[in-house]
Amino acid sequence: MMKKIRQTWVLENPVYVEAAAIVAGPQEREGPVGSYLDHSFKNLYCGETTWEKAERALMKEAVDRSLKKAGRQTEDIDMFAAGDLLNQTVTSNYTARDYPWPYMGLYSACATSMQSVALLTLLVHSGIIKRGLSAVSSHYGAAERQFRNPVEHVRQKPSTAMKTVTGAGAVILSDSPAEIAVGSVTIGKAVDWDMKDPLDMGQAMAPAAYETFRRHLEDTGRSEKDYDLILTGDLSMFGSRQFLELCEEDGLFITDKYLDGGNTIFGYHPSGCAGGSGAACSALVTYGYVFHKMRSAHWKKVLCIATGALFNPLTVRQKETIPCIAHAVEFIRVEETAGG
Amino acid sequence: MKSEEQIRKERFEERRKRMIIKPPRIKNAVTAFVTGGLLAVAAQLLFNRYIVWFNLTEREAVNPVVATFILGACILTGAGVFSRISEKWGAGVIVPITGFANSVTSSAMEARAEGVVYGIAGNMFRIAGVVLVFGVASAYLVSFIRVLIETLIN
Repeated sequence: MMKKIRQTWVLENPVYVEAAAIVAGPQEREGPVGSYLDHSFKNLYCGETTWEKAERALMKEAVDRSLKKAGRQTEDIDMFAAGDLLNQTVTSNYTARDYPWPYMGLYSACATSMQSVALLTLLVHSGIIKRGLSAVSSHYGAAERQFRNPVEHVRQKPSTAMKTVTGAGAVILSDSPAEIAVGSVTIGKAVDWDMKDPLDMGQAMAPAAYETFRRHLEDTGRSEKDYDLILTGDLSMFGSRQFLELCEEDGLFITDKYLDGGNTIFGYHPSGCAGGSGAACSALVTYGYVFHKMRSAHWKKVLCIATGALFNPLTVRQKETIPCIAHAVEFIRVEETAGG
Repeated sequence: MKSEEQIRKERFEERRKRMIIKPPRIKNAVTAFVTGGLLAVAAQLLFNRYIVWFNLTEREAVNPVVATFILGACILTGAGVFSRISEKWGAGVIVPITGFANSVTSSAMEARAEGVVYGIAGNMFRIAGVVLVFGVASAYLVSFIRVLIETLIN
């Protein structure tokens, strides 16, 4: 029997979510998450000239708004951890140069949102930093251009194809009490079930989500009944079906408390795609919709499993399979604090 | 003896195959047939007009008609309308030269921020380059075979 490697860290002193801000493009505003947005841009260019600059504008807006919402100054932040989908995480790099913070660029594809939250949580918990800011972004045009074809290029897409969410989310984590806290984090491992289709990322990512979920339950010794909501990042229509089936094979019946970010962001039956994807997808749904519902005490304990397909257009063309990853963060509503 | 892991993976694969939604091929084919046919009719009418207006022979009038269609597709792509049209009208609007024009224009549009030389010119044929290479190669091959057969017969 191999020695079990720890993947989950349960926090003794919770780390708090001080504030979260989300901004998005036009199509996301029309969706169910639209009413929770802090700001939305009227078109995909966000007042800039290129997709890449537009994504930067989104992230910067999210960072500034989260600072304002927390009532913090720039110098209150000790660490900036950010990620996006573009090569060399350029959006984060260029956003980071506008701020004086120590910066770590992260990449876990669409799971970057929870990766950065998990990392900052652990840093805050260990006392290394007092307050950290995490930001993620994705942009439909920029991602489409890098991973697939030009936006205006006409091509038939399979029904499993997902649409990258245009948006950015920023969240400030600190040790000063607030309404929502992080209870535990599970860092996933790269899982590869031999899926090769880059236009069917949902199903490729489902096993990773399932493995992380199972490890989280095993490590913490909890059952699925302990959670009010289990949220996956962006498995979309097909992937979320597979995820539920995998859970059911293990005797985990979670259908009544399960939500998928990809299914939520554009409504349940979006036209022309199987749902949303992208680093901002899980961020928008978690920081906007889920946090709002948690603040109004609708949900008390939420497990957010962000999933990412770690593929590269080159390796896909070289006929390699797609490794996937999922990071889980447990958010809990703190009852005794008098507002945050 | 299969491990539990393998059985799980096999079941996963089985479900994946079951879940695949096949595109409505017959409906798509009929749509493409109708829209492609309508475009062809429009092209023929234009062809007839060009012969009268510009005093061309039938042989000469082909290229201006093709050029008109390419120009149309480029402008529509640039205006962001082409993708919406093709969503409704299907392959009928892509299969003629218009699809090629669309791929060149869309690639060039995306790269315009990187400058004229390395951006637009360098990326223009990112998608269409494949078509060009195989088009030229197969044209060469076919005409070679034709010449070979002709010389053999004579």
